[in-house]
Amino acid sequence: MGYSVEITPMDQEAILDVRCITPLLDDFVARFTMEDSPDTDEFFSFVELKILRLGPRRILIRSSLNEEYQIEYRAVSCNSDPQNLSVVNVSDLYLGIQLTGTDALEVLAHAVPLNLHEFAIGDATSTAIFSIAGIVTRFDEESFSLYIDRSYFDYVWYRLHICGLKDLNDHG
Amino acid sequence: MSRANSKRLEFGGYIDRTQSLQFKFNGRDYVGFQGDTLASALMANGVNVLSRSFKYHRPRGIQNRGYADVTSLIQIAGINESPNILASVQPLYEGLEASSVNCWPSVSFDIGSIFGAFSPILPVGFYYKTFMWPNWHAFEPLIRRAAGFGKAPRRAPAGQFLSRFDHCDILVIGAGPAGLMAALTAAKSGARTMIVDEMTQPGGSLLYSKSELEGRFAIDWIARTVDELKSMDHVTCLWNSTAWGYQEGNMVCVSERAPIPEELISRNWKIWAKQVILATGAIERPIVFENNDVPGVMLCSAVMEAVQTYGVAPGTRAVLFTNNSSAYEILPYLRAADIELAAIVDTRSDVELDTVIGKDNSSVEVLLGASIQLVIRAGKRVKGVVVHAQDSSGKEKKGKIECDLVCVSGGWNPSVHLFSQSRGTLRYDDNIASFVPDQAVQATHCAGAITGEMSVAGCLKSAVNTGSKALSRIGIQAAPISIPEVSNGDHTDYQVDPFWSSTAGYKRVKAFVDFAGDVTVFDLKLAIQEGFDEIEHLKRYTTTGMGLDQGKTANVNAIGIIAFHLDCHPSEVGTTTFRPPYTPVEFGSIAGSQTGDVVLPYRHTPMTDWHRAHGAVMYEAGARWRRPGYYQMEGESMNEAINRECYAVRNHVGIYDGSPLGKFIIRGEDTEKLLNLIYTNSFSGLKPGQGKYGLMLNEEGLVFDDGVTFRIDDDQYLLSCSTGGAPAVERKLDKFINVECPELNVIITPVTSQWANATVCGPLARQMLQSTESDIDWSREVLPFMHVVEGIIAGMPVRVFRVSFTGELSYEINTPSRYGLKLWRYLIEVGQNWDICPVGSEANHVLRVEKGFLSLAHEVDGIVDPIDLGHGWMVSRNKNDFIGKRSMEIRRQSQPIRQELIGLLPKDSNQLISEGAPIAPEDKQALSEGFVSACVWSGVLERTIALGLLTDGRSRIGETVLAWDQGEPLSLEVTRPIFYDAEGIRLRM
Repeated sequence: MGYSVEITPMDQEAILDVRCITPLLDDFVARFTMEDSPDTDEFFSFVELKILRLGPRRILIRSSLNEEYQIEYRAVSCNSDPQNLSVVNVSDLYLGIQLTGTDALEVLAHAVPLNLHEFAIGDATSTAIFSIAGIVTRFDEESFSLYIDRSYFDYVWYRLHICGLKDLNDHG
Repeated sequence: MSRANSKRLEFGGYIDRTQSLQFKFNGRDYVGFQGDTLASALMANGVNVLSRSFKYHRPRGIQNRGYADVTSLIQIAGINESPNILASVQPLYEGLEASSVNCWPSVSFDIGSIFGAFSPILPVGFYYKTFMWPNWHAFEPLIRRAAGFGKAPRRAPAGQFLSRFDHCDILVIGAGPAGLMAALTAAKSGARTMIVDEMTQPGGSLLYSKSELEGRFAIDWIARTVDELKSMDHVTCLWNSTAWGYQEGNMVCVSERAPIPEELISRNWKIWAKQVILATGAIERPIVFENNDVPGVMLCSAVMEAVQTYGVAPGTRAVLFTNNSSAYEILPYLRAADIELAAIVDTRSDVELDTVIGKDNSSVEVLLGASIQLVIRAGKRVKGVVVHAQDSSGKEKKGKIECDLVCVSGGWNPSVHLFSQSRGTLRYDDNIASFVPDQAVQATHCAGAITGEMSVAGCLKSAVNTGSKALSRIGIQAAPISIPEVSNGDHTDYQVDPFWSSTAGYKRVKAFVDFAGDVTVFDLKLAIQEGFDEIEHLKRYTTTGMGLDQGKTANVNAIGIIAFHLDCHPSEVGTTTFRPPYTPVEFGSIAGSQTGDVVLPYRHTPMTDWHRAHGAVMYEAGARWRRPGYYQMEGESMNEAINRECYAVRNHVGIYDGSPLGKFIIRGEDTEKLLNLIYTNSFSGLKPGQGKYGLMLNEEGLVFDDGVTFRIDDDQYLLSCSTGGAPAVERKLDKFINVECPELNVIITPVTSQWANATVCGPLARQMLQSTESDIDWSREVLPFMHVVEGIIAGMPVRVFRVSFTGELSYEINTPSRYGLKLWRYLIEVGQNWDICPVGSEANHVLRVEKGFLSLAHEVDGIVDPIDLGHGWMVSRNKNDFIGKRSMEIRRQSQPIRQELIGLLPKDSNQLISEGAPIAPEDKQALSEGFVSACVWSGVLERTIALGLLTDGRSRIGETVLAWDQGEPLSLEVTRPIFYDAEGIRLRM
């Protein structure tokens, strides 16, 4: 019996890597998403943002690639202390792979040492994916996204497909 | 039933007699049934001998059950050929082909059995003492061929190995009565539970037990419990899966095998458990007597399993030999299989016979205070036994009893291997004459027979208590659970006489302690006589408990025998440390899917496919990158390709893919401080748009990496380092700003793959780039050497650096990776007018040697400092500190004369010298003065040139030295380490 999972490459996204010395990060996120900012209405009318918290000093801001300029511009504008908070466009650093299906967790468990049973929807973390640094996020019960250094994409893609091969027995 | 299944009982067993399976063993056809193991099917077909032993090539049959049956070693043939499989755990499947191991020409007639005749001169450690002249290696191949196991397959298996991770609250290892009960306790309480068992069917000893639970057969209770466990989403059951390693962090390695290896052979699990419950049971222990390895000598539990689980009668007339009360459980099984019980030989004198054998067996001869001394064999099978007993007057008497089956039970050894691997300590328990777990070091609990509890009822109760305790440790309240009532023959009063061996261990007596390694009582005795009286030394000298056995059956007997000979208590002998793997694990299972093309991770640039399509021979370039080594055109040799590429760069334009170079964005108010600490030279005052070359040292003051750092704008720097050094540089920077200098206000973001890099180099590079659609002013005035500018080329955003690794006018054009291939193609297209030539790393190497530029792993070999490399000018005298400064200064004070970078010109201008060739005087070849770090053919100089490190090299320019290339002396003239454009005019154009 093969695993019930669909492994698909994701469209390239606009991704900003925001790193800082705490507690600047919370201030930055607050400003970045502040609703009463003068240009907020215009900004959020066409930008669909996702913020991945990877730790107390690092977030990734994701959006669609055609919104790359807008989110980078806004992030730079919201950065009141560029000496202590770094916004770097890493849209070309990562490529994404999505795993969807009832066995997505089982297949992903071949790649990452995380406790996926306690990895809640909306969680994101830096981890090793087949021993390579990457980012995992869970966006619903049966869907996970992996963000991998683009140079390793072929390798991870190939190994994920081998893992999707077949179940050995009925695990109950 | 097939006639061939001559030993198969008419009824009974948990096999499916409606599904017959054809299989081959040693080339002969046999038939078994679904549910058989290979061992049970062979036994049913009357096959006595499965393999030959490791050292003496003695015939071996089935002795034990499961993974403790270390004598049933076979080799599986076919597309997934695998050696060293135990027949007792190999599920039978249609078409299975297997053969015996360690025998030639056949298992029934094995030439190697001649070693048995020479055994008196082949005692333990004989090879340490005997094969000293001319040396051990002269004999090693022969010995390895003569002694051993299966043959490693010549080709990779067709099937796939995988590995995976998992986490759980409670991991239960062992699915016998205690394991199943513990898992049920945990699962019913809502804990995420995993249960693992090495056999294809869960149940452990209950599978062949005649005990009843809740008034029903044990097998029914197993089925109901397993169904209940499997019905819960938060429970994972892994059968045919061996927990073979217990590591730190409560991580357990489990090898899950496919019953029929086809597409997938096995999967190795790494399971992190909050709490681990070891319910690994106990392994029946043999008793040591002469010829105790002859086929037909079996442990009682193996006989019971054969009868109850597989419906096979392993003999017709049996003698029972024991030292403990549990052995008497075998009596109803022998009756059921119509096996005549010739005699009971019990080493104990105070046995209440009516209680243990019942009235039905009152006619059986029972010899108390007696022991089997010797097994008599006929051919390769038991024919009888010689028993020593005492008559009523206490007088010794010896008697012979005919039989074809000897059922042995020497007591039970708790399976403490994983507990010991977890670093838990063991203690000797006199009540069971064996070792039990003592103090746990990790979150480990033990339940059932592993603790020395031998009754089913006791195991169930212990499991519930242990399960509840483990749950409470992780804050889960155990749900109420009823413990099934056990009836019908539960063994509640286990008694054992610590009787290890009935032989004194004379030289010619083959009384085996360790069947896997052919270690006898004589071997142990001899080792003690030779002074090996510590258990760890004895283990290594004799190999007792090593190899396949891993102490399952051999250890406790060995310890008992050693204690006897040292005249001490077994607890004083102690145990050795058990180490993974508990059972043999295929290398494939550990490697998982990381084989073939993906044995190591590899990295591609956006242009990789283009390179391959244009004849690039790809090289490993460090940090898992693969880059073009050279582009080979049709009919062209490698050297011709490299020369063509070098010519292009020196005369018109070359282009290479520099994407893998390490890149880091550094921001923060202390960036300049950081750069001044990690580089030897000063980075103060760098203006936006400017860059600088720097050398990075390690704490020992030796060159660690080199690279350039540019100030992109007011608050952003880009640090670039070598391709291969990038991961180490990242770790070093991370450690430095987080551990060593956390006060530095610096933020580092690695961006290597964010940018693709096409480097255009050569005297016509500027002209070519001026013809691109671009807003960049390429002139020297606006974009001089070591400067950076941002702009657009053909609609693509680019960042252009004036850096040169070839010594020519050079532009490193970086663009976000999504544009990498497009930019590359565009530049190739535009460059056609200038005969642009793609260049690989081989040509780059030639060009940099001509210029004397440094290369990691060539000149920068981890033992040189900047002054050695002629880069003393890069060591700032004005800076108070940088990493490695003090170490370098101290070393140079005590060692003023060191190996220094020099150029070398072979006297024979066509002579290439191997990289690494030592430089030494003719009369003192052993005293290396240095080595050749690189040697290439330079097309532009029309001769070979080399770089090297030579003691006090800079003061020896003009001297002639000798490099020793594969023993041949080659003369070289020492020169300055620069052969082309010494003034650097071309790269600054």
